[in-house]
Amino acid sequence: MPSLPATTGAVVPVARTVRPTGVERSFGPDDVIVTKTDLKGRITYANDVFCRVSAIAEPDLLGRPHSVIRHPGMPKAVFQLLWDTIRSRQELFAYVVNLAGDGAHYWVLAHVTPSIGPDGEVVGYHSNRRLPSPRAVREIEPLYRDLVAEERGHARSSDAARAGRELLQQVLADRGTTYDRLVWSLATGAAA
Amino acid sequence: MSRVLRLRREPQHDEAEVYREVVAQWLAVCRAAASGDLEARAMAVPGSEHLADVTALRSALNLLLDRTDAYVRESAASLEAASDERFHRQFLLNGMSSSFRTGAGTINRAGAHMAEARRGLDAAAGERHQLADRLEDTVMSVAEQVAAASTELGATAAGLSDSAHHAVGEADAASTTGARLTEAAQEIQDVVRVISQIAAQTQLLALNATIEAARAGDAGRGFAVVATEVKQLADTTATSAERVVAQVQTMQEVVSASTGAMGSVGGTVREMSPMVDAVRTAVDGQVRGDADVLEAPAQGLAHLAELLREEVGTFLAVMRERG
Repeated sequence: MPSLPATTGAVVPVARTVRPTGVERSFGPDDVIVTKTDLKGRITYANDVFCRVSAIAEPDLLGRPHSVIRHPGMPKAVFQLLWDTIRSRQELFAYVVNLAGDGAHYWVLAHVTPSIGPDGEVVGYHSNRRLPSPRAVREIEPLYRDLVAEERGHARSSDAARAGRELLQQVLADRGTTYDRLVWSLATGAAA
Repeated sequence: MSRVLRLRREPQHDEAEVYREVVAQWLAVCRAAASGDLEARAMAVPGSEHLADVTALRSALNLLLDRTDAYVRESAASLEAASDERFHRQFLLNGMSSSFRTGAGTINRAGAHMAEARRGLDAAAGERHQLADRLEDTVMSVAEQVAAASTELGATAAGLSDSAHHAVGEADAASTTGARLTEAAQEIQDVVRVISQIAAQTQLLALNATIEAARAGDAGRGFAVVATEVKQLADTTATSAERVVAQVQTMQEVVSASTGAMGSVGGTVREMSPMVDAVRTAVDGQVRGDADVLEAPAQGLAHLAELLREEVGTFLAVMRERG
């Protein structure tokens, strides 16, 4: 495991109340944004593409929770699905909109997998993020908008996540698909 | 904390020392990766930020590790998905170039072939199920028809058997009646024979009386009339007796012919009975009370039809399971 540089951790001042500017940022179709986190979701590695796209310097990222780039347009239900999936040692593909340090946002097709250590235990999580197709983003945006609206009606975070999850499951059931199949149908342009 | 403060107080690094530190740290990363630990990455070495070659080397090294890491994760996950028949999950080609992309393409083609093979198997299974349904329909229909036909056949054979037994009884009764008629005719002939003897003796007596009357002259004239009358009566009796004998003989011939015919009918019906029983055995199986019970009991048509249905049912269950 790489040792964290001494300049990370609580020493780095956390002064970040970023407001979304509505500016959309993109990246190259063959760029892959890579991060690794520990079991608690704290960033242990971010590649140079991540630093460039998120407009956050590497020393400001290491040791920080991954939620540092969370966008208010992301439903809690999707993150809950993500954690439930990777904690059961499964991979997850998800469309995610992230908030950059300068207020811009960027959509990614995230592939999150557990990293398995030499003894078979989960030692951390790994995320590869690729550029999604504009069509996929157009399809997923209204669904996320509905989920966020549903979640905003609940004061407690756990209630909000549950309500969002229920709505997500209902929508997927109505379409006769699963989240995984929906994501892949949008990624490959096939029918869900 | 103290190290950070030290770094801030001493921002100047000896360049050679920085290079040595870079080499030492990143060599460890390379060795970890070579041993299969793809979690290791080249982290920034303090004091190297302004060294363009070091920064470029770090980017290149991490890009190599990221791509290798991604390739390993993607290939493992996409192959696992294919073996779980989640064929929609493919190897994402973004960020994969040259050899990486070729390998990824090979894995995706293998997955596509597996998906196609799966579709072929599904189609074959579907056809097998259709075949099983058709076979089941046919066999059930045949078995039902055989069962219905055998029930009818059994009932008919049973009725026929009863009728045959009845006919044999009637024929036997007719033979008995014929025998009694023959006996009665014999008795009639005996009686008629006595009557004929009496008529002959009466004729002889009348002749003697006529002779005696002639001898008596006029005194016997009235007696001669009576004697003539008696003779005529005896003649009529003899003639009648002859006619009765002739008629009884005719009747005996008719009775004899009728008894023969009845015996022939009885014989034919008796020959028919085992055939009817054979039909019943074929339909219902071994008839209870048969002598040769030591043999395995013969199975009737209805039972065989049921057996066929059961066997085909078992066969179809196996055929459908394999789908």
